[in-house]
Amino acid sequence: MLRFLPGQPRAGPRPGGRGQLDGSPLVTAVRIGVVGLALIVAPFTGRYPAVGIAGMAWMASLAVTAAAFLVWLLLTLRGDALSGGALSGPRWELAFTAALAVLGLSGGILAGLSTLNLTVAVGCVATATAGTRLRPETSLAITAGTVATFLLAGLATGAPAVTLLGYSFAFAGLWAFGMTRRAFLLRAEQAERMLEQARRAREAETQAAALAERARIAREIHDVLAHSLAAVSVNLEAAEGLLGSLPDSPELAKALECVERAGTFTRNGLAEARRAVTTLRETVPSGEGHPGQGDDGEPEAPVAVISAAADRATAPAPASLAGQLARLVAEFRAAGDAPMEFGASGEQRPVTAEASLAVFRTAQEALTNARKHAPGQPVTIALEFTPDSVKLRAVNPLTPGSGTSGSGTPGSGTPGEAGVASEPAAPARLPLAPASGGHGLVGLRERAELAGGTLTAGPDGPQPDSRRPDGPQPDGRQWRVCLRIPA
Amino acid sequence: MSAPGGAGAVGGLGAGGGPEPGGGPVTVVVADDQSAVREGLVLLLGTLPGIEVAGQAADGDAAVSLVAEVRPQVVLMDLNMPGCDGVTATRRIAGEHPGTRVVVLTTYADDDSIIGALQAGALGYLTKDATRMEIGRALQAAAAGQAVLDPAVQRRL
Repeated sequence: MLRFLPGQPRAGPRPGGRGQLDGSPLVTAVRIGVVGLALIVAPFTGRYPAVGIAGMAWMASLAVTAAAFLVWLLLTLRGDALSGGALSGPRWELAFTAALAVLGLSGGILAGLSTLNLTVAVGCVATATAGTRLRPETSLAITAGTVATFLLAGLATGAPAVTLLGYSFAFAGLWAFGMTRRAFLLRAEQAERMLEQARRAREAETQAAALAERARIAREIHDVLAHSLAAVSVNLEAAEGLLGSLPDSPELAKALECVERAGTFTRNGLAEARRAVTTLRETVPSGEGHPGQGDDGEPEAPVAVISAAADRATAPAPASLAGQLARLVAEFRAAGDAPMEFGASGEQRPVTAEASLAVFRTAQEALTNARKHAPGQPVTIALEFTPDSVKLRAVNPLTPGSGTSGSGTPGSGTPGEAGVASEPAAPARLPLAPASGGHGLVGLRERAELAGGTLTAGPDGPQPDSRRPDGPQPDGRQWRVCLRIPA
Repeated sequence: MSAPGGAGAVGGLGAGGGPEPGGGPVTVVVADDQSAVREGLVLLLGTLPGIEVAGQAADGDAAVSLVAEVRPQVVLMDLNMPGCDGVTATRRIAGEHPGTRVVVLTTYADDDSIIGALQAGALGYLTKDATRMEIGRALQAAAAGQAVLDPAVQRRL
């Protein structure tokens, strides 16, 4: 509030907290100066009663006024120095109000007792300051009190009516002046606040525009990718077919393997690109993620029922991650005959698109793998929100005999990825194309790590041995996939 | 062994197909503006028994005139084509050549225009990452006038 204190910012913590206005330090200085001067000079200039009761009253009032003045001075100076001290907020306001009140009342007495003295200035400044700094009701009360004490004292000492009237009007007038200044200060503060709000809104808008632009670019890139990958996929399928009609040979077998592998990665990449495009469009991938052919563990079903497609595309998409997962589980449940369960816990909140994608895709992969390698077994998907992360757990019991094979290919040893059973103990209902090893899990782990999280997958048994990828895995009782993404 | 390509050309390699519904291979016209996709599809279809490529077109207009000329049983129609797009072409074919079935082809399974195409008269849709078997089944089913089948049922075939 005052610039007297070096280094204090103008817009710093205000004395008395939010109740006080940011006034001009010059005005405050003038006010204080006037009162101080008046008090000091009073005994030496002008006329005042020096003897008798009036004299004592005058001296007493002067003392009280001086005390109140000092308190007022102290409060003003110490306004921003202590924002958390013993005197802050409402207590400061109370003290300030009291000081002004005393100043006003005793100033009124002084003025009444010595009408031709500089001490009248005290009352004037008191009412003006009260009008500016205090609530209208309070300042009115103080002014009234000042006028009242002045009149009392004046009548008691027999001051002329003109003087009484004159000074009363002076006190009231200065109160009005104080109120005007208060209104001005209030308006100025409001304008400043609105300016700040507008500035912040503009900042937020700029940020939002930048984010939207980024999302648009990302979407376009993925879109282009998707179309290219689609073309690649078609041609790989054609190559596979053409090679398949050639006479058998070991080289041909290897070439076919390469083509198949390329096809898988292409389809996975295409699925990722598609999902990125739809997520960046801020909708649920409505055509994606339903239980598909699952020939390589990827979830796309290229062929669909007309009505089902129509339903899916026009049904309102669940916007929350839990909603998406619930829908996914329902679709898997409907397409197969294994019991599936989904539960969400923790306080649900929106998470980043990256984390959402990672969770969704992991759940999809887990469900597809469970259906492929442990068909008929119940699958439980649990989504958990913690204050700093989102977790997904997918658990299913293994059918006896599966999960005992070694990890996918020797040397691919990713610890924790106990690999995919190459001989699923399932009826011939399985897809035509051969099952390829855990490409899905590898990709998912990478995705999880990119998002700053971790993914573990493996059997949950008496001695889960995920550190020996080359050796046979122990016969776990169940398969558990755990994903944790900080979000 | 003739290489498939060009309007009116006949697709080649059959890997010794079994009996086809309705007798004789299913004739298909492929319509896609991306030459990589179009030529890849033609080759792919050529490896499928029971399917014969009757021609290829690079946009909707060419597809419609090709259908009028060649009268295929099925048209495999890409949705996103410049000029006359897949939906419009589908509508025209469904109106002018009701004997020809249309299966639309898309990159994204949740493409909004799929609904438009289905309403315009297409019998089903395929995504471009479908396997050969899936494409073959879809085309056979379409030729038989069946709506393209649910994937769970498809798996049991």
